[in-house]
Amino acid sequence: MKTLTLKEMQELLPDYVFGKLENSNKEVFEQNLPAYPEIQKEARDAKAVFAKFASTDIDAAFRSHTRNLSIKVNSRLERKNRKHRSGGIMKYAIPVACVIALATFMFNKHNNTQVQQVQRENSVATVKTIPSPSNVSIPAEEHTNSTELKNSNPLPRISKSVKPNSGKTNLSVSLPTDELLYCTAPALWFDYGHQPENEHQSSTIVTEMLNEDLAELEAEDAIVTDIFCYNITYNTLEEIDNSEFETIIKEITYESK
Amino acid sequence: MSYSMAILRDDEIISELKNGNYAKGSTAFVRKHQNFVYNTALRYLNSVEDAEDISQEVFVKALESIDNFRGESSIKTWLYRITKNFCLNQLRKKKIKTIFSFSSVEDDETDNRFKDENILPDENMENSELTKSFLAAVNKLPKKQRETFALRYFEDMPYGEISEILGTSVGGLKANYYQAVKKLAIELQEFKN
Repeated sequence: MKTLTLKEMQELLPDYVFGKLENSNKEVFEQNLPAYPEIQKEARDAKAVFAKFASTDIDAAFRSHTRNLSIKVNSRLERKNRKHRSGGIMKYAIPVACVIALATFMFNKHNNTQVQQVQRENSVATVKTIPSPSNVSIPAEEHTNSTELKNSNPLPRISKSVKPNSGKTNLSVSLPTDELLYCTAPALWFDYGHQPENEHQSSTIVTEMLNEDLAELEAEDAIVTDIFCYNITYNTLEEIDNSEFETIIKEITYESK
Repeated sequence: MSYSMAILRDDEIISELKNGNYAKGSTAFVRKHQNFVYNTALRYLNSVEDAEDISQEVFVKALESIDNFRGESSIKTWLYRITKNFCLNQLRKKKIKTIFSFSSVEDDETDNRFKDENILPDENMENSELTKSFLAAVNKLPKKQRETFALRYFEDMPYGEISEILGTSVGGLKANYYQAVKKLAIELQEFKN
C-alpha cells in the first residue's frame, strides 16, 4: 500500500468528495483515510454539504442571462462589419476629398494671383493702348501722318502730327471732356503758381514737375492711383526724345501766352 | 438535427469558422462557452448587466481574432484570458469613475458578490435561495481560492489548464482547492443533509 502524507491527503480530498478522483488514486486515498481522522471528518462534512448543492443546476441559474447571447453576438459582429466596411470607404474617401479640396484651393489661389498679376500688368498696358474719346489740338492744325506719342482712355494722349509738305510739326492732346480744363497749358502754369518767362524756364519747370511725379509713382511701387499723371509723365519721358520734348515745351509756352 | 442542438468539439467549431461557415460556427462557439464566459465575468464584476455586456464583447473579440488562435492552449483557457482582461479593464474604468465621483471604492477582495437580486431567477424559490447562498459563499473566498474552485468545480477543468490560466503551480492549486472546499463546508454547514 502506498502511504500518503497529510498534505497529499488534503490535495486529494476535494476530488474525492466530488467523485472526480481516478480509481487508482481513490483506492489509495481510502486506504490511507483511517490514518487521518481529521481528513475523514472533513471529507464527511464536505460530502454532506455539497450533496445538497449537487442537485442545484448552477448553469440553469444563469441561463436566463445568457439566453440569446449568440444572436446578440452575431448581430453585434454584423453591425461591426457593416461599420467597418463603410468606415473603410470613408477612411479613403475623406483624405481623398481633403486632398482634392486642398488642391482646388491652391489651384484657385494660384490662378487668382496670376489673374491679379495680369490685371496689374494690363492696367499699365491699358494706359498705353486704349484710344481717346475726344481730341483737343493745342495748335489746332491738320492731323495727317499722325504719330501717337502716348494714348489712353479716358486718359489724355499727346499726339505729334507732321504736315507732309511743310514739315511743320503739331502736337495734340486727347482728353476726356471733363479733364480738358486740367490739361491745358494755362492749367499747368496755374498748378505751378506762375507763368514762365521763356522756353528755358518752361522746360526746367516741366522737367521738374515730371520728375517729381515720376518719383511719387515709383515710391508707390508703380501702383497707379493717379493714372492721369502716370500717363503724362511716364509715357512722355519714355517715348519723347529731347528735340520733341523741346518742341512740346515751346508749344506749351506759346499757347499759354 | 439543427446545428444549435449539436455539441461540436472546439476543433470542429474552429474549422467551421475558418471554412467560412461563420453563422453556424459562431453560434455553436457562443452556445458552448457562454456559461463559462458569463460566470467568469460575473465573478469578476459582480454585476449582471456588466457580465452580460462583457460576455458579448468577449465573444465578439474572440470570433474576430479566431484566426490568431494557434491551439497551443485550450479554447477555454484562451477565452478565460480574454474575459479576465475585459473584466479588469471594466473594473479599472469603474474605479476611475468612482474616484472622480468621490464615492467610496469597493474592495475587490471583500465585496459581497451576488448580492444583486437579479442574478438568480425566482422560478424555483428553494433552489434559487440555495444557489444564491452557495454562490455568495464561493465569492467570499479569497481570489485565488475562488477562481481555482470555480474553474475546477463548475468548469471541470484539469489542474494543468487551471495552472496555465492562473499562473499557479499544480501543487499550489490543489492546496487552494482544498482550502476552498474546507471553508465552503464550514460556511454552508446549515445546508448539511
